[in-house]
Amino acid sequence: MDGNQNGLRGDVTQLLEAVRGGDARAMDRLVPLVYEELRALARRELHREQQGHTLHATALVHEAYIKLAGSAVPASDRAHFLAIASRAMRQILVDHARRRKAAKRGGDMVCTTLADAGAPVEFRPDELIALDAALEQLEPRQRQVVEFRFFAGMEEKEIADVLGVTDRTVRREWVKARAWLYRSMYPDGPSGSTATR
Amino acid sequence: MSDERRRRLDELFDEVLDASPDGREGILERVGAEDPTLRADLEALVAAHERSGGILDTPGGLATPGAGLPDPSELPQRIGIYRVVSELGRGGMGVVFLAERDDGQFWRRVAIKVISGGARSADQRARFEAERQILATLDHPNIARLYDGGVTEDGRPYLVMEYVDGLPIDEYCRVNELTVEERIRLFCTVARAVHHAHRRLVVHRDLKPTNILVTNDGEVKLLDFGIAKILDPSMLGGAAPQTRTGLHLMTPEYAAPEQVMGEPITTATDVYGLGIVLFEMLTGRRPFALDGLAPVEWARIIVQELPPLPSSVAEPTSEAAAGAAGFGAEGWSVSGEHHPDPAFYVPVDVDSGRLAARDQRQRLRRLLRGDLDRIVLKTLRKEPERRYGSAARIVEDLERHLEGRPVEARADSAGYRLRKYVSRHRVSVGAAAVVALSLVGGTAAALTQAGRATRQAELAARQRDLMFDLFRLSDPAESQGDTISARGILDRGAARIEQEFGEEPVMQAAMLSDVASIYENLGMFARAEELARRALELRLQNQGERSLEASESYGQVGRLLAEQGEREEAIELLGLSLDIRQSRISRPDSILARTQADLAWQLRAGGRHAEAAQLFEQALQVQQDLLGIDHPEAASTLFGLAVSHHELGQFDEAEAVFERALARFDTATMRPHPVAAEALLNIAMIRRLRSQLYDAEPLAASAVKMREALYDPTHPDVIEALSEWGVSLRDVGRYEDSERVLADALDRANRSLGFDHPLTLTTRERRGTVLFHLGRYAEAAATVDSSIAVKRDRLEPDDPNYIMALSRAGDPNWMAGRLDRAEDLFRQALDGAGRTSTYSILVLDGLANVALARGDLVGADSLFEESLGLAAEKLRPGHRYTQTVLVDEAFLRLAQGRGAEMIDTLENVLEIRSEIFHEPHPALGRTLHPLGAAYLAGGDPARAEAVLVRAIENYATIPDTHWRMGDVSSLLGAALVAQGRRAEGMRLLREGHATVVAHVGPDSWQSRITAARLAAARGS
Repeated sequence: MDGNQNGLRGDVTQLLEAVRGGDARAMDRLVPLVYEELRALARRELHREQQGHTLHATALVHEAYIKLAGSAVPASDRAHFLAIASRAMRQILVDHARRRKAAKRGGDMVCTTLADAGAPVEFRPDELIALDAALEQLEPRQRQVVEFRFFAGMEEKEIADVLGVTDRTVRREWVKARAWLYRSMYPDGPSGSTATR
Repeated sequence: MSDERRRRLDELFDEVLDASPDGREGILERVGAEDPTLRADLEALVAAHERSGGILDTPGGLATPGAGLPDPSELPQRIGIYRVVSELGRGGMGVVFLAERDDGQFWRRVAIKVISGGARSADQRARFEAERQILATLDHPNIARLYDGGVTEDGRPYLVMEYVDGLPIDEYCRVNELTVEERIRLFCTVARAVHHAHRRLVVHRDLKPTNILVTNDGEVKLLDFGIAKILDPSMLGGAAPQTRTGLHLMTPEYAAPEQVMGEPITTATDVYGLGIVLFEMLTGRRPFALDGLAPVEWARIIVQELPPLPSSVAEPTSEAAAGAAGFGAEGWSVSGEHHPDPAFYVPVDVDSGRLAARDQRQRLRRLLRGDLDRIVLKTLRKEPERRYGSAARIVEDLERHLEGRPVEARADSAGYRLRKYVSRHRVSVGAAAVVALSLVGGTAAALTQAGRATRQAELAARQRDLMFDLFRLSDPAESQGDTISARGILDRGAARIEQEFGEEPVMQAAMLSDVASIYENLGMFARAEELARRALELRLQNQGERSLEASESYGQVGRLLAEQGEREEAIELLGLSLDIRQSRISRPDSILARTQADLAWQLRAGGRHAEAAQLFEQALQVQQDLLGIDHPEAASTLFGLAVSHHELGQFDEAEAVFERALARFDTATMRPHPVAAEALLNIAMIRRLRSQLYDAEPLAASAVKMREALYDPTHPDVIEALSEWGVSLRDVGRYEDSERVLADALDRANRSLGFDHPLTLTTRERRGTVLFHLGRYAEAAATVDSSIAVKRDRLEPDDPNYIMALSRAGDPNWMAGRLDRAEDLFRQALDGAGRTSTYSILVLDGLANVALARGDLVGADSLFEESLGLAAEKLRPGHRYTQTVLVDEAFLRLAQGRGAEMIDTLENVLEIRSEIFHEPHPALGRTLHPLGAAYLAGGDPARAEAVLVRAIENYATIPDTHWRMGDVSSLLGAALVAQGRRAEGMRLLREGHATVVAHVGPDSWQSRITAARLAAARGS
């Protein structure tokens, strides 16, 4: 079935190109592929959690990309892909958080690493779900910036590319989005036992 | 909030961000003047902006593995919600800070222990958290509270504990010049606190005077309860490698023999620790002088050397070096009411000045001689089960002593020691046995000449002692399984026993029984049974039919029968053994519990789960109390109980018990040891039952390796482990590996256990299933067929064992297209089980599959309905049987053209299965396969394509020639065609069909489907 994989891969590249060219139908075809791939990858990672692995959302998104589109593709295509993937990733993580919350035993901490190679950070499912809800209230561009940066680990430049704005704007949108989100999520200050040194 | 307002705030926020701190004030003022609520909102936004530590912030600094302790000159300012005041101390494991909580509502002083080398992974963190929560529930006035815990920003775990300001207990006694009686009472407080924790299943593991503080007010506080477990590097993944016995971890002076030997830590370990503390409190010294010795040396001393009598070493003055006790002059008085013996009475006369040092020592030793000696020594016994059963019992005995009543502590007999040892430890007899048994021969002559009963008993005792010591030296954990020479030696020894002890039937029976144990441990059950029966006979004749010895022999023979699969007779004899013993002993002991557990296992094998559960409960009670919940026997019983609950459908109970069982084992690194191998296997089985399949496999693999190192390749225990490993490989989808391992296990089982031994049958069936999954249907059917034949002979038609075997035989026949045979088998199963039994769920499913294969859609529909109805009634939601039936039903819906209806159901099944299986796994493939078909049927070929590609990936471990690969290929082709990629699609359709035909034939129901699909595509 190798031949088929390659076929699929070639398709994704073409699709990405088409999307960049503004082809909406291409987007329709791309989304399920990406979603399926990510979901499978996430499923695997999230359930390995029990054995002590943490979920690297960024890594997954990139892994999905490589699997579907190969690695030798222009950066702008990649950016579009990541944009789609970030949405999917958000959905996946929140779904997972919901399920963990409903789980009878041990569902207290959802472990995810959402930055590069950094220290694992722990989120409670509630926080993630609250974040998801608060995101919906943001202005579209601010929301996208958060999705791209937080859920897909995109760099400022990449985000700027996709959104068609400057780096500086991206930075500012992030800062504002964060304030709005925190205002909504933590009316009394962030809880948790992280040291604030 | 309106959009308008939001936009306004956003703009203002922009301004604030661009402004200087002063400018910011100006903006706020301006806004406030215009609209106060707007200002409030803006301030809230700014405040939110300034918060740190929220979900969107990544913590500063990377966590590097093995991060060291912080620079001592730099105290952290805060840890969690506490403000650090000073550093209290540091040790190998981390740093302790004094801290305060001061948040306006609450003021409290705490000690915070920060552990270096932190908990890296989520798993370690979760364990840390779980452990901490257990410890936090310990609520006792004499145990320092554990308030809280967490992880610092650089990833190091910390614990927040009650801060205790006091002296270590030995120092306290010295400084305050406590009398013997006062020390005893103080000690009792400690022991009671320890007992409190034990009842909550928490073991301290590191009892020593520095962990037992006494405040100025005389309040006792125990510190660091159970923390040793948290600090265990294997738990937190620190850099320290685990040595063979973890010798580097412990404080030698206070280490118990089992800690040194790397054996399980139990509440008895704490009893030992208490013993050392008591010894020190009473004598001013520690029992063993270990200073400056290499680990190997002090390890040997702890494990082998007996401690001195306290009365022989007590030192009251402070002239000696470390550990001197300061007993005050007044301390020698003991009030006349408690000790009527005038020799002990010393009048209190403060004014007359201090007594001479020598007199002091004499007095102290006199006080300690006798009962106190025995009490202390009982706590310090090398074998955990020979110590006090609980910390509370120590208190009871001490109180008895203070009241002048007789104490429980006594010395043990050597014969008891030997029997205990042989029955608990699997012994592989090496060269040492040659010496032992020739000695048996040698001294036997001396015995028959001796004549007098007491002298014989003495000699027998000494001989047993010798054998005991020699057996200990040839522990399989060290000799690693050199059993070949032992067999010959044993045979000769057994013959000699018969000859030379002919005149001494009691002795003979005992020796036969012991040698039978050795045979048993070598896996030579038939031979062992022979000897054990001989022993039983002799005992019945010479010691009475209801004697304890007869009970032991009944138990031994019963166990041996059980090992050979003679279940009914085993149950009978074990029952007898139990009956007799219960009537003869006043209180249940661990031998009784062991017999109960043995019997329970047999009942379980016979499907009598309710009775088994009851017996397991009873046995567990006793084992828990006497041996401690950590003891392997207790853990094994716990496992048995869990399995029984599981079989009875009491899944919540089962789960609770499994958790308990699991928590007691530390599987991190174990050197080859029979007890460890058993633990590994038990846990592997537990994991498998709880669907933690990826955890189970490596554990089972380790168990195999360990047992192969300890025993012969054909030893039943090795076969058992292999069989378990084989099935766990199958569970994770590694079918080829599984088949190989199971074939190997089956081969060995056939040869050494016999064709129809229960383990052989089980292994055969397991192999049958994996062959089924690999698509080797003919072989699978043949394999299971032979199993059915045996079972039909031995079991009742309604025996679940038999039903399941029939059901498993039906499946490969169905897949291979032998529909008549399949139906026949399923019908037999249905007849046996009836239409309302849980076991019929899969049988009905099987019949439905057959009907579908025949093209009888209506029949299939009603059978699926019946099966699912039964499943809904009998099984908990999400049970894997239900999943199986739903997936099978999907094929019916597809045939009916209603495939799209199954999309949600199948997605659901996929979700549930994804919890257990990880991609790639054929079980997920088998779900994605019909799901893809469903999407295709639902008119979403793009989605179908994505899903089918995934299905193919998940079929990685089944052969390319499997019909499933063909069908998926065919479906994928159809999906491509539907999306306009005709050329590629047609090719896949053709190839897929060819694959199916090649595997299951042109007339199979599978190839009819692919043929139809191909034709439809051509026509379109």
